[in-house]
Amino acid sequence: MAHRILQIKRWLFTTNHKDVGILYLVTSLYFFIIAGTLALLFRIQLSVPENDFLSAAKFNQAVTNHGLLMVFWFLSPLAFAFANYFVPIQLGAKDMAFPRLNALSYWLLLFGGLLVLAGFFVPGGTADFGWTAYAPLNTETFTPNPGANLTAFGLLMLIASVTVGTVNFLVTIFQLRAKGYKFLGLPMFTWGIFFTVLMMLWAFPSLQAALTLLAVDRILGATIFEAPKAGLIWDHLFWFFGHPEVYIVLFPGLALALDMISVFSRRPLFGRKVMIGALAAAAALSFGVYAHHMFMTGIDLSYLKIHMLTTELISVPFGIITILAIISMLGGAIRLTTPMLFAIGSIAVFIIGGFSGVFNSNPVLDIANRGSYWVVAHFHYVMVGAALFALLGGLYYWFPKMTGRMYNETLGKIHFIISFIGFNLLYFPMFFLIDMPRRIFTYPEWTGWGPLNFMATIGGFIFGLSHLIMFANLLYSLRHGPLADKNPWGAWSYEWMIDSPPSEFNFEGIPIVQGNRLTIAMADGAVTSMESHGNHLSPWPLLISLGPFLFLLGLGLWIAEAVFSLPLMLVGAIVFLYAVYGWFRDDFHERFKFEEPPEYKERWPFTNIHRVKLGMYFFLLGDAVFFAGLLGTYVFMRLEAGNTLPGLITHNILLGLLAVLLMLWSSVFMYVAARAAKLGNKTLALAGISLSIILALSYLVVTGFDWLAVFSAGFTLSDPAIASSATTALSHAIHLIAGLAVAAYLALKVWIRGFTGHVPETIDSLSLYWAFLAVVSIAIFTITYVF
Amino acid sequence: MERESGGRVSEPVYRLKELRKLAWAIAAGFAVSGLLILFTIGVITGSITSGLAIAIVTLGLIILTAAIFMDVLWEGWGVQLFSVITLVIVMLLILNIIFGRQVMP
Repeated sequence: MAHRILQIKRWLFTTNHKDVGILYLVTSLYFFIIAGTLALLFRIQLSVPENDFLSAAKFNQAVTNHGLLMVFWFLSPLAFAFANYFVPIQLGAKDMAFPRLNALSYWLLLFGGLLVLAGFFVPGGTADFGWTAYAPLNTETFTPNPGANLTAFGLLMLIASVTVGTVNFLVTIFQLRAKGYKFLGLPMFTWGIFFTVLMMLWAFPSLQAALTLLAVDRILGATIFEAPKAGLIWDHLFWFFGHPEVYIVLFPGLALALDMISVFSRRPLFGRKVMIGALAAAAALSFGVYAHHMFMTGIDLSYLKIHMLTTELISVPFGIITILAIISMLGGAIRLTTPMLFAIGSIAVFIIGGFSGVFNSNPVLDIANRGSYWVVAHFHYVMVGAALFALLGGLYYWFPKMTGRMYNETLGKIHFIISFIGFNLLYFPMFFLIDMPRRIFTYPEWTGWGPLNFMATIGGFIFGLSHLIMFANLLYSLRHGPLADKNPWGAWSYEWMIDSPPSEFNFEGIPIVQGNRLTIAMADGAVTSMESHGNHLSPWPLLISLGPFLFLLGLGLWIAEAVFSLPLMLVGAIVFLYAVYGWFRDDFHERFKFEEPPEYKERWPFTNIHRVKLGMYFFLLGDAVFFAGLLGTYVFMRLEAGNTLPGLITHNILLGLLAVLLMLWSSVFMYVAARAAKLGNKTLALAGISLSIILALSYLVVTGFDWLAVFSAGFTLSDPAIASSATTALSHAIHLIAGLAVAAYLALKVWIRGFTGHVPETIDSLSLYWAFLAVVSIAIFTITYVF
Repeated sequence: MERESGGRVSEPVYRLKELRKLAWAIAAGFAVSGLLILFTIGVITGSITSGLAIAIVTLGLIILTAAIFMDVLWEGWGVQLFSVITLVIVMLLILNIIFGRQVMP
């Protein structure tokens, strides 16, 4: 019994990267089953003409949640299950740079997904506006379903999870590589994750901006997305995120397929460096192609041509990767194991998906294809076929390493064959349904779409049910499979050089790379793994995520006028505050220590930056895009929304100037505090933080007073320019209040304990955060108070 | 004096570096405050009216403040490169919003 309780405690409180990876894996497969079941339901509906298996409303809800859950809670989390488990090992590290944040990232993801699912049980139903949630369809007027609010909250929690995870992976990859491990030597999978998190860093904040504005619309009664032409600003914010998201889903699987091709062809990848360059080029271009999703919106022709050109250009790096992958197999001693079959299958369907995408880049052809089942076939070949097949291959590939047991190879191959046939039977007929609109819940018989749809539904069931073979195989093998040795595939990345499954800290000693070989050094004075990672358990990541989950669930129910909503919100707030207090208390007593000795790590090109400060940099670089999205929305509203007034008239510019000067000098004093902390001057550091806090509070008072005056003058949130600038100011204020809590805590810690642990570096990081908020306040002033 | 990287640097050099950063920050605080006041006067008196002028001033002030207060000027090329990429991405988003507007039905 005690053992069982310990096991439950381990899985709830773990911060170990491998445990977190397994939690991601189980969660992603759980959401896969739900999202897959939804797909089968609407495939039944579409299998024959004029079917009434699902109503139009239920059909829309099923399609919407299928898309959201598959993309956000299955495909990416499955990739990040592997990333959590294997990237630190492939780098020669004992854990992620911030283990507690890693656990936090997982729990935020899980509770975000549960919020979305909760929408199904709210009276009035869940979101039904498609995964793109186009405006104004996403507004209260057109989607009154209260469950849609829970979907928006769930997505915001997901973005919080992604933000934390992104920062963690970037710092880990940049600063936790084993000594002597050069960037170019990293396995393709880690390269794929590196580019994925880079895209996540700059893409997700745009969606965050869109969802924040939508939340203001839906909760506070603003009408940002109901303003004239406002549908286009949603398109911009959504697709600025949405197109990189395609590659965010694709890259981990694609890179993993390349690793598997290399391992099972028994030869290095041909043109490996070119492939890495091609991935970099595709990641960079992904931010400049997104308007091809908006060819039908009537946007400016010259602007449209630029995006057509960049879209056609982006097919070049993917073409290069595909060709080099095929060349890598030529002349190799190929072993057609289950992972290899899935890798080859992934590349094969990616070629079909990629080619069909090139047609969509041409605006003239796009007019014909847009909104048809051709597009459905295209993106499923890319996002499901290429990404999913590779990731399923990865599940077989790494199963022996994660469990220490081999799976049944014959059943694995049968799974591949049936799923590959099912997949193609499901999606290939859709290319011929080019005249069928993709968002209809039924169709008349005379259209002739019935037979192809029936075929697709049969394919869907074959594809869906084929995975039961995988579940049965892996679950049985987990207990009864033959024991796996360290390196059953003869692979060369570093996870294959340690035990199967790996020990708690991966490497017993300090891993160092010498001439592409990993060695374990026990240097004098080195911190052994047990000492460096004394406490792996922390309840706070779980509770910090549970609090907002309960609060947002209560808020969603409160909007739906359900009972027990207010107590739920109250409990959520208490849990959150208690968990934050607990996290701070642990930090105050420095209970949770984890840091590998920096001198045994390769940290280029951030050799001299502390990991906390580097993490703060990455967080702020992403946050810059969030505020750019909000301010861009304000500019858009001023240009397009008709009778909006300039900020010069709505605001008091002198109050605005006073506020921005207060924020600027608050930042100067925080900077002084950071320098004083670095030099060990306690008095000056405390004085700097205190003055900074006072000035920041004054900023909040002055800004609040100015906004009160704006609303007193009769302006309301029904003016889209006012609503978007108010959202920006509110977001800035929330950032500042969170910063004030940390600043007050740090002042207390310095006062009582002095400069222990990493306090000087933490104050330095806080001064970065403060400077960023000063920069944003300048932008808010010069744009929303003047333009 | 131990640095975050684990390398070592002499105490006076470290001290001097931190004090120099401090001096620059205080100077930049006055400079940015002055520029903001001048900008406000320009707007109130009607000297600055065009959107382009507002955009240039905004961009200039942001870059100046971020470069000094966010240590971009003092950190290695890695931070500088990532900051420039972020600036490009931010500009890309804003320019797409401004120029990708509806002109046809």
